[in-house]
Amino acid sequence: MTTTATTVPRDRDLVAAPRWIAPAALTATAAGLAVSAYLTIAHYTQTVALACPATATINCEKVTSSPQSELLGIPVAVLGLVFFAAMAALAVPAAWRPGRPRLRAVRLGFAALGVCFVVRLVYAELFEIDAICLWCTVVHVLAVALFAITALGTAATAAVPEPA
Amino acid sequence: MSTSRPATAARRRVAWQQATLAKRHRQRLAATVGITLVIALFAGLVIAKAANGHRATPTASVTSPATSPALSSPATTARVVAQATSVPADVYAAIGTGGTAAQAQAIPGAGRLTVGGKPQVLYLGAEYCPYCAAERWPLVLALSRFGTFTGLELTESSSSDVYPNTNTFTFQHATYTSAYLAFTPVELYDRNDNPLQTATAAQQQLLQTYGQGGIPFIDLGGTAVLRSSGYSPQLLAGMDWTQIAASLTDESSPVARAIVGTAERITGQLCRLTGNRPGTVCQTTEISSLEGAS
Repeated sequence: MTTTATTVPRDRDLVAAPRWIAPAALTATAAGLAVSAYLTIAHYTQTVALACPATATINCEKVTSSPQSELLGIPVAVLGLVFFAAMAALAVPAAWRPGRPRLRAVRLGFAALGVCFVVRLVYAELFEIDAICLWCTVVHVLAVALFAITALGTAATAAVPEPA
Repeated sequence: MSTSRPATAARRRVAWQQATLAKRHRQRLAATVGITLVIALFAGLVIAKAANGHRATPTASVTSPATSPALSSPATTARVVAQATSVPADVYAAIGTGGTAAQAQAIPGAGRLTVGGKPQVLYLGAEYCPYCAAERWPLVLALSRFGTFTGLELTESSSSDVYPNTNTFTFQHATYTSAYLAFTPVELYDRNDNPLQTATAAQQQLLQTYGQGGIPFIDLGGTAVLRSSGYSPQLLAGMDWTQIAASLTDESSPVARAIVGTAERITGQLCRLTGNRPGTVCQTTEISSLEGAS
């Protein structure tokens, strides 16, 4: 009978999300929001210049002023801001409780969409613009980290319906 | 019977717990695979870029190699770029405007163009375009007085357009760094008229509004525009990059007078944008007189 006690956790472990998920997700979204806000401010104002070295490989200005820096006329910095704001709302501790399959699907889908967008932007930097923007790369890393946290968090809070 | 009900409930509970754990195990596996695939995708992009870069190095100075094999060697590119980006101040002083005509047209009421707080020079052109080919020379010269280019390459205008095969630079892979100015070049088509780079909606709007859709179009910080070359591409006919670059310091050469003279006029406009910085370039009598009328 001790085998049951060692292989199956207590019920409370099955109805509560692991403690690390919400703080990790919120930290990533907060950092993403901060950097996206910085990029957005630099895009719209004349007084804030991106602190970024300019070499043959690294050039924030070349990337942020390229045609690829906009999607349908919207600066990608603004899209990043919207993405992290939405993810922040989806990553509050209450949103990580097990169950809520629709919320879990939306959050995971949104995180995956963010990664797809990052892939497109990294491709543009490497093969179309020929320059890397350091601040954009920070945002890209945070978006991928957020996807990883979300995917692992979603798995850790998966549940089947409880017996009546 | 009274003891079998709790036992059944307990068994169901254990079954539920095991089913939940099994589901989490499957999803954790799927998540791990997904994360690994994403990381592998980024690694693949970086590796592909690195591999491309290594292959491109020997011919990095050549554009459109399919139609113009071995246009120039890397050594030629380096030499031509070095000469064009370091024309001595005394050559500018000796040539002045070189007899060229004023080219800039003011665009009062247009919004200021800036990037990162610096006035932006926006270039829209195409590699096939002979007037763009002619204008790139003085533009490179003038901008080099305010900052540094990397990635400049050599190309020729279309072989089937007017002033065919005019030797010039391309901004396709160029990067410009300056403490005073931002430079945003867009080469819309290659020399065979194939789409190359895409202008943003805002850039296209500027092209239509202030350039009537024609190239070359150079917007100087939203204060003035250059809408053609400052001299005829005919002047460069039959000359290769090396010959053009070598002539830049020959004050009596018509080519030098056209290119350096046009560059001096553009410099006057750029000095107005930068508030006469740097002083070594802008605070000369010639430039002061050009700022309002070049």
